[in-house]
Amino acid sequence: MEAAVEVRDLTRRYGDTLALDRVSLSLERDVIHGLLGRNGAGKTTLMSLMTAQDWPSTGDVEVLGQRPHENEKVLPRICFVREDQRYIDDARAAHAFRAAARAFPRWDQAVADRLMADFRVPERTRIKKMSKGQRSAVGVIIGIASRAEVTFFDEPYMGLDAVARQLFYDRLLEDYAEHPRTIVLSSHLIDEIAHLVENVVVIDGGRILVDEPAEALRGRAVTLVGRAEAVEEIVGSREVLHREALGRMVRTTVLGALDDAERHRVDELDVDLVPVSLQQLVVRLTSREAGGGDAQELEEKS
Amino acid sequence: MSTMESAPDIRARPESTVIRSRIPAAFRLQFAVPGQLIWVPLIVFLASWAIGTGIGLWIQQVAGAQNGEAATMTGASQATVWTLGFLAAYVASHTFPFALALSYSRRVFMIGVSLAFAVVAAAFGVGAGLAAQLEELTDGFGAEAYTFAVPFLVDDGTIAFGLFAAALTFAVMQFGFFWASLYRRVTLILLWTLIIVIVAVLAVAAMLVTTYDGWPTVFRWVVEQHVAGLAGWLGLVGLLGVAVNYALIRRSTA
Repeated sequence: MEAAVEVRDLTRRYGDTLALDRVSLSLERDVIHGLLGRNGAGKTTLMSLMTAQDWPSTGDVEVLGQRPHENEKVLPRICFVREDQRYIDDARAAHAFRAAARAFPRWDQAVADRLMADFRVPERTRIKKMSKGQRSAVGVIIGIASRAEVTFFDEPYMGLDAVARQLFYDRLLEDYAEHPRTIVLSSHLIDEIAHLVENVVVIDGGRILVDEPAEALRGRAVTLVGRAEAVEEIVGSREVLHREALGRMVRTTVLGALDDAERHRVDELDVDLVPVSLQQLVVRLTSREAGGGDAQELEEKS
Repeated sequence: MSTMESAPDIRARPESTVIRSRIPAAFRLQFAVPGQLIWVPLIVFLASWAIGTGIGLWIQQVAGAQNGEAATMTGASQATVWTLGFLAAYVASHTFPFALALSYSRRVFMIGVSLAFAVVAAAFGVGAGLAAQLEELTDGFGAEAYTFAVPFLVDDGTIAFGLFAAALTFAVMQFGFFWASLYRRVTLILLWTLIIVIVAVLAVAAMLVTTYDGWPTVFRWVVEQHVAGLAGWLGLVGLLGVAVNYALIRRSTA
């Protein structure tokens, strides 16, 4: 695996607050990564450090094999679109795109023009006077048209309506298919981006909970619905992520795939198997009690 | 889309990443919105000159004979300098976060900013020098109304005055950039503590000069420097500002 981004033992403190706690992570090149987690989990901090917009308290960051901080050999190959991206006062979209065209060596103006029409970004309106959705669209266009080798989108959909969000996902995938590159997509709308991401990184409380391919992750948990005794038998020693009871019936989400023998037993006990969506899995993982485990613990239990 | 026409077309470039110096791009970024460092200062320059001259002409008219041959001098020439100081603060507060989104290193951004400030300051210096020249040639538009050709400042000629105006503007722009950058880096309490400390240090310095009857020496030193010498000192202050501001934004975040 060739890594686009490599972070080792990364810690970031803001006063007494520990935003990132000894994070080590490797993001494979030319893959779409989903960076998922709750508000304040450390997603933006991690991306800011990876893009050299912030400095770590301790630890190392390498992007495309080099340290990115103050490194003009790497920085033009990185694009980071923030949720609340700020622009020059009085700038119109065209001003921002012209500036981006000069900054990013692989900028594609045709793509920017097309996306501007697709997202209906007004030409004559100053960015600060645009709706939140239109402002988000300006950031999205910069991110896609930059064709940066490593592109980060931090909650890029804020203010975009459902149609515009779908347009963003479609255009991003189209452009990625033609020009593969490393994309890191941070989002709360996990099910919406589930079909896009090839690798899932879940962060919580400044620590990495999960870092694995989306396909592998989808089979990692299962929800069992049935009589309490029957479900308990199947659960065995697996880690329970979530449990709801209604009389004698229970609905339990557990970590770990079932083997053939267990599936046979599930049929015999008349227990229903319900697949767990990526969003449910992330919610369950991140809502476990504090100290419920990190990525390594997760590996061992599965 | 007509607004896109001047954007550089690099579609024909090979897929391999082209790494080139982005200093010219960082320089042009400061002029991406022409209103910021071109039109607003130009409007203020012309408007303040017109208003200052208008006041001079009005005084000449109403005071008339009572005023005699006395010249009317306004401080309106400073308006553009302070405007540029505020606009430089805008660069730190608004353009800097956008520059980070465009992945400029702080070093390249600071070089681009300083070159842009230098060009704008030089343009103001040329404008101020020409304006002073015009006022001298026309005896203050026939009414001894002077905005730029102020005695002492033009004693060494309008070229020296233009150099002084440019150096002063560059230093003031770095000063404006400094305060906005500092505001971004530190808490409000720390910012005001620093302001109070600076005021206290200046007050103590003034008290010491007063205690030791040093003001005549200070004024003599300023006069001995002449305008060109002061321009040199201000130029040094501006360059020091570049270094301090780079140190300030080096770890500043978006």
